[in-house]
This record gives sequence, structure tokens and C-alpha cells, in this order.
Amino acid sequence: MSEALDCGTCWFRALRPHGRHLVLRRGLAVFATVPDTPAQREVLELAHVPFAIGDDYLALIGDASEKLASVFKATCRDLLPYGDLPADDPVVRQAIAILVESLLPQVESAGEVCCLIRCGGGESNPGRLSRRTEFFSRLVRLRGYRPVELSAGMAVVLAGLSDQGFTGIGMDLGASGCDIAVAHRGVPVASCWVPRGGRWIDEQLARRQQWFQREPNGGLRPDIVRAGPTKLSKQGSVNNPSGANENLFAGLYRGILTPAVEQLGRMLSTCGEATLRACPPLTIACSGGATGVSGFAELLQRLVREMPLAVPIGSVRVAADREHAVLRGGLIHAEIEHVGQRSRPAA
Amino acid sequence: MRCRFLANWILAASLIGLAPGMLLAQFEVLPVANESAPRGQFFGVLGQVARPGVYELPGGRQTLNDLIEAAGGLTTAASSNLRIVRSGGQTFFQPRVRVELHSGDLIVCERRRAGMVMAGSGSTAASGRDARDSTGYVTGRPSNGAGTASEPARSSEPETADAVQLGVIGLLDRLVVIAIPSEQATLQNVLATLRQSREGARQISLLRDGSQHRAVPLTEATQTVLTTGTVIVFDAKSAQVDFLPKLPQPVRWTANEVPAAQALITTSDVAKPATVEGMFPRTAPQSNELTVPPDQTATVMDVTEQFQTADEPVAHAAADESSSPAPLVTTREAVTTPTVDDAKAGGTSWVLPTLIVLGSVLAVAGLIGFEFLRRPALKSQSARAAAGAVAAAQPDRKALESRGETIPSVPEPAIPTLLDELITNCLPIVIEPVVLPSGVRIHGRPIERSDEFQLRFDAAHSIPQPHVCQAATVGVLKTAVEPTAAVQNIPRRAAATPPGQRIDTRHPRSMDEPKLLDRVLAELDRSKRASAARSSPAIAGGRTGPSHIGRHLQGGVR
Repeated sequence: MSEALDCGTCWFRALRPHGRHLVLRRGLAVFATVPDTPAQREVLELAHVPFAIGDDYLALIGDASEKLASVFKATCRDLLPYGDLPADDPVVRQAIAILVESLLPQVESAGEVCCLIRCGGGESNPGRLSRRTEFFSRLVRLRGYRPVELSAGMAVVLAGLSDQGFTGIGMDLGASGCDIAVAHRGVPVASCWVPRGGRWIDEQLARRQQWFQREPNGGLRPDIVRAGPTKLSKQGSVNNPSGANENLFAGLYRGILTPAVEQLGRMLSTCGEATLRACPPLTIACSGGATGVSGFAELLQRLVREMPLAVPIGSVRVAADREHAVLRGGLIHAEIEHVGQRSRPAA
Repeated sequence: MRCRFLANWILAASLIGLAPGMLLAQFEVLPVANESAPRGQFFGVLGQVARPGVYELPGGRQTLNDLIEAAGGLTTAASSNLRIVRSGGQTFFQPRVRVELHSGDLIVCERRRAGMVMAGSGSTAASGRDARDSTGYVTGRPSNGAGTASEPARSSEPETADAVQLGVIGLLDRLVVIAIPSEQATLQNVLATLRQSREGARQISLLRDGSQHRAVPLTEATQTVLTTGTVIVFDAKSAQVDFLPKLPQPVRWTANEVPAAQALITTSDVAKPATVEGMFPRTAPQSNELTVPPDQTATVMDVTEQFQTADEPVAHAAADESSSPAPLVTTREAVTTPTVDDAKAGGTSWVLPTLIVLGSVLAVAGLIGFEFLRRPALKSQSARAAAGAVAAAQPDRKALESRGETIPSVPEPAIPTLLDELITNCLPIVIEPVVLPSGVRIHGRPIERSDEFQLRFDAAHSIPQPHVCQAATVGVLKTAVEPTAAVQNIPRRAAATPPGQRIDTRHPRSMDEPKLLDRVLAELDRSKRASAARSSPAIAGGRTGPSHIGRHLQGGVR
């Protein structure tokens, strides 16, 4: 049995095959701490809310923390703020371990493979990325799996470009950034990371729509929880905006896609030109929750045409299962590794 | 009787003549130092190349181009896909991709599908270059040039075009490439040829074109029809290697053996795929092809004539010795490639080579005579061996026939694997609830971060009765800090809302479990009522104001 694990900024998700369907487990990547008083502990126990016990606090992890943080006047915090693993917070690390342990079932036999989706670029800070990868790899090993790593962009290639012989460009628009990978016959040629994602859109949208939340000190913060679903409920197209709101919305998407296409152009000119020039025009496959807005593919295609790229680009497509395509690509990678390991003759 | 006596006499004479050479060879020609010398790397290539087989390339970095170049280049029927089998898995590349190979890699050059015509095919001799694209490689793309779409592709097949080429992994410590006549290319025949019994090779795996990969139990698919490019992966632990037939030896290929006519092919050319001239179709002039020593040319051998059961190894060994001087491969350790370097390193005296040559000549002469006399008997013996092998490979069929049961026909395995279903995205996704453990100990203290983004915060205020989530706008709460002009534009809550209460916006992520909050608040209220009844019976059941619950929720934000 293979497994795919995606530890993102918003969600921790795990996907595995089971019979004739795939089983998805997911939990919000947040946690909250409340004081450890008998009353609160009793309330949580009676309400059957799972919690962890700290020195003098109770920790709520995952969905329960976000739902109940306001009840207990606690602060709901990200486990991976902006996709980074806090290096100096042992409580966060233990909370991550608890959540990952709940997402991954115990292995049935030795040698099962778990593909760890790598989101976040290591170009700016490779040490931080490697620490995060190492941390999650250890968690996966503790559950009995053999971890293999795959970038989110390559996972999109595996999930969405099978008809192109796994040759093309995969783009995953996640919460904390946009991961882009160029692949040729399933082999990664180049990859890059643009630190702007769906959460950036939510923040900007909340600021410009003046949706704020109170902070404990009385300050205001953009209400991304409200802005997130709003951006996907827009009826108009981001490619052909008609009103002021749609123009604002389209401008935000251009704010993400323009640097992404620029980065892609630089990447193709430096890395993949020699290999990919002889190929037919490449297809861009996109995934991620933010790609569900109407007109996303058309906007990206227009930006690509406006940008002089070293390698011709053919079409742009958005994965039908845009929210789970990365996980499915990771599961494909894990299954390939598992099959290869299973058929490998023993030494 | 007279013939048998003569044959035995010739055999005895040949052995007598061979014995000194063999003994001396064991003493002198196999030095220990040369055994420990680094060997090359073994690569296999089969399919649409000029000379399929197993090649031993020198150590160091070898690329896909090197191997295809050593194999004589692609044929005109080769597709643009190359399949690389490595460590039991396979992946696809194009010839123009510069791929570094690992020792043990097996390259499968697929045949181009029907309708795909080589650009420039059927032209003059200079069209050998026209048949390649701008990078100098043979392309498999459909032609759009003049006169090529309707012209048939040049008949250029590898040397074993009428046979099915198969790769075998796990039998030896290196790859093996064999060729089977297409009418006999079933898994059952191959296993009988390789002398793998059901008990020994309990399970094998087949790697085919595409992503079809499945483990094939022998009891299920012995009639599986094999096609060129199929790779059979044996379990190294269970494979029987004691009675293996004579398998083809690898071809050692080094840059030094390239004839002078091949001086154009240099390492720098290989490093730059755009200028490589070593990859040409099979119909290119022979002078452009890399030559292989004559005794190593037949890298793919037809092993069907060595069809024999495991209970007759001696007779088969005699037949092999008479037909070829290559030793019978009986163990894994015996599969070594005798090289010229070995003889040079060990043979320092001129006496020894002379004795070896004389002994070898006598042995060959004796064996030729022996073979001449035994040929009629050998034919009948081979036929019996083949019949025995077929019978041994079908014990279940006979048993079924004796019991009067119908014999199930095993079709071509076309079962969509999990990988196929994942790639085609035909599996539905079922969301499973996450069960978090409760009561787990956490050590350390959380660290407050001022720059951390907080998902949600409610201002300090009392909590009313368990409230119902509504899809309404969050109201502005009165706090000590005056809201900014931006906040003032936020729509006010409904006028019907009583003062001092709030209306929570239903969290978009809590759609799947709306009762959790209500459950907690109900428990809070219940505990509040119980404590109020204990402390002040006068107000029990009367007050449900928010201040009571507020006393339970001590601390708040840490």
C-alpha cells in the first residue's frame, strides 16, 4: 500500500488507495492552547474533543482548535506559518507529530512507501527546506513507511500530463506559494518557487475589501477566513473582468501569475531549453484550490503568450480534481516506487 | 560399436591434449590480481537496435548514447521512446535525452507504431542523415516532408527481427537478453528453456511496454504470450541457477576496439548529442557501424534448441561443448567474461600459450570428430528433451485432463493496475474522519510570536446561550480601541440582535461538523447550571447569563 502526504500551510492531508477508491484524511494545520483548568478539561472530555496535555495547558490540534478557539478565548495558530517549520517551538513540532500520526495509518507490511509532497522553495533558504523535509521524513519513518520526496509541481505533472508523456510544466498554486516544475518524460528538468499563493490573494482581498479581524491588542488583521471562500464564489471571469470587484480580483490573480510566468521564463531559458526545444509545445497543468476561479486558465495562457519564453507553450489546463491532484500525483510517485521496490530482485 | 570406440578414442585424445593446458591455465593464466581488477558495467539493450544484447562498457559514467552507439544505433523502425528498466522499475526517455546509466540498466527500444514514417526515409544514401532530426537522431515523429508520408519505412530490422527479444533479470549477476521464435514466445516455453521449474521460480514479474506491471504467479499465466521488449524479472532467491543453459555472453566494448574508420565517434561527440553521428539506421553503410569481435557478435542467441529438462544436464553439456567452446554456465560465479586482458596479465611465458594453443587445437579437433559421430543420436536426444520439457511444464494441464475438468485459458494480462487507475483518475475519493488521540502528553511551552498570522480572534465578551451559526456578517464589537475608518464600513449586525450578544459567522471550514461548537457550549452550560445549583440554590435554573460561563473560562488568550 502506498501513501501520499501533503503537509501544507492550510491543510495536512493524506491519501491512500483502499479497494476501489481512495481514502483521504485531512486536518487543518492549526493548533491552540488553553489553560489547563478542571472546568475546561471536563468540558472537553464531556464533549469528546481530543486534546493534548501540556505542562499547564491543553492543546487543541487540527479542526477542533479552529472551531473552539473562540469559545475558549484562545489564539488559533498555524502549525507551519507561511509554510515554514518553526525551529524553536517544541510544542508545534509535537502537535505536528500528533497530527501526522493521525493521518497516516500504521503500515500493513514493511517497506511501504509514503510520498512526501515538498511545497515551498528551497532556493532562498535551502537549509530551512531541508530541515523541514528531514523532520517530516522522520515522522513518516516512525509510522513504518519509507519516505520519498516529490515537489508539488512534479506531482501535478504526474497527475495531469499523462497524455503528454509526462512532459510539460506542472504548477501548483498552494496557500503559501506557487511551485512550478518542468518535466521531460517524467524526469524533472527544472523547478522554481514563487512565494505568492492563495493566502496572499486572501490577504490582499481582505485588505482591499476592508474585511478585518480584531487582534488581542486591539489591532486589526485581514480576515482571510472570510476572503478565502469569497474569491472562489465570484461569478465573473478573472480573464475578462467587467466590474470593479472583478477588476480587483483579476488584478490579484495577475499579481501571482505574472511573477510566476517570469520565473518560469527564466527557468526555461537557463535549464530546460536544450532538452525541451525539440519537444512539441509544452502543456501547463495547474492545480490548487485557487485555480478554481473562472477564467484562470485563460488568464494564465494570455500571460504566457505575452511573455517571450525560450520554449513554446501549447495549452494550459486545470486539473479536474484541482484540490487533490497534488496528492494523486504523489500517490502515483509512491506507487511507482513501491512497485519498483516490490519487483526488485532481492540481493 | 566401432564408431563408438573411435569416438571415445578421439575424445580421450583430446582430453589428454587439453589437460596440460587447462592445468597450466588454472595455475598461470588466472592471476588473483586480475580477478580483483575492476570489471566494467553491464548494460542490456534490446528492441529496435542493430545489435541487441548485453554490453560490458568500461567503468565510469556511461550515457544512453554510449550504449546505443555500442549497439550499432537505432533502426529506422525505432520509435521515439526508449524504455529504461532499472531496479525493477521502468521509465521512458527519448534518445536525444542525455541519460546517465547505471550498471544493470536495460534499455528497450520500442518499435514505432504503424503510420509513423521516418522523416526522410527512403531517400538516397545521404538520407541516412536526413532520417534524423536536427539533433542528428532518428526521430519517430510523423513525417510531413515530400514523399515520405506514403512511402513505406525502410526495412531495417535488428538481427533478430523474426524473434521475440526478451530481457531476463535475476537469473545471473548481470542482465541476459535472449531471443525466442515468435511462435514459441510464451512464458511457459521461456521458463522451460531457462530450466526454471514451478517450485524453483515461484513468482516472477513481467515488465512490458507502458505501465503494465504485474507479478505473475506461474500457476496462473504460463501461457502468457510475450512480445519483444518484455522483461522477465526473477526472484533471485528462488530462481534455479544450477542447470541454466548456455546464455549469451556480454560484449565487451571499449573505445580502443573501435576501428580506425570509427575515429569520428569521440567522447566529445557523445557528450554533445547534437553532433553525434554514431546513431544511424540499420541500413546505413556497414563501415559506419561499430564492429564487434566475430566471436561476440551473436549476443542474442536462440536458446530454443537447447530445450532440455533439468534431469538431463550431462548430455546437454556434451552437446554444448561440441557446438561451441564457450563453457556451460552452471553457477552464478561461472558467468564471467574472459577477456584478452586476463590472458595478457597472466601469460608471461611463451611456453604456456603454446601449450594452451596446442591443447585447444587437439581438443577442438577431438570434439569436432566426436560431434560428427554423435550428431544423429543428438538430434533424437534433443527432441526427447524438448518433449520432456513441454511435458514437465504442463503438469497441471495433464492433471486437469485426467480429472475431466476444463482447462482454463489464461488470457493476455491486461488488468489495469492501481497505477493506471491513478493516472487516469478513475478512483473516487472518500473522506475519512481523522481520529486524534486524546490525553497525549506534550512537553515544553508554546512560544508566542508577534509576527505570526492568527487565523481568528474574537474580542473579549461574554458568551450567551448556545447560539446558532448564521450566515451573517460579523458585527463590529465595541472595544477600547476605536475602529479605523475602514472598519466602520463593515456592515453592522442586524438590528434585531439584542445588545450584548454576538452573531458568529459560520466558519466556512466547519460545514462538515456543525455540532461540535454547540456540543461544547451545551456542556459548558450544563456544568454552569450544576455549579450554580450547588453554590446558590436561589438562582439555580434561573440565570443563564454570560457572566456565569465567563467564570468557567479562565485565562483566555495566553
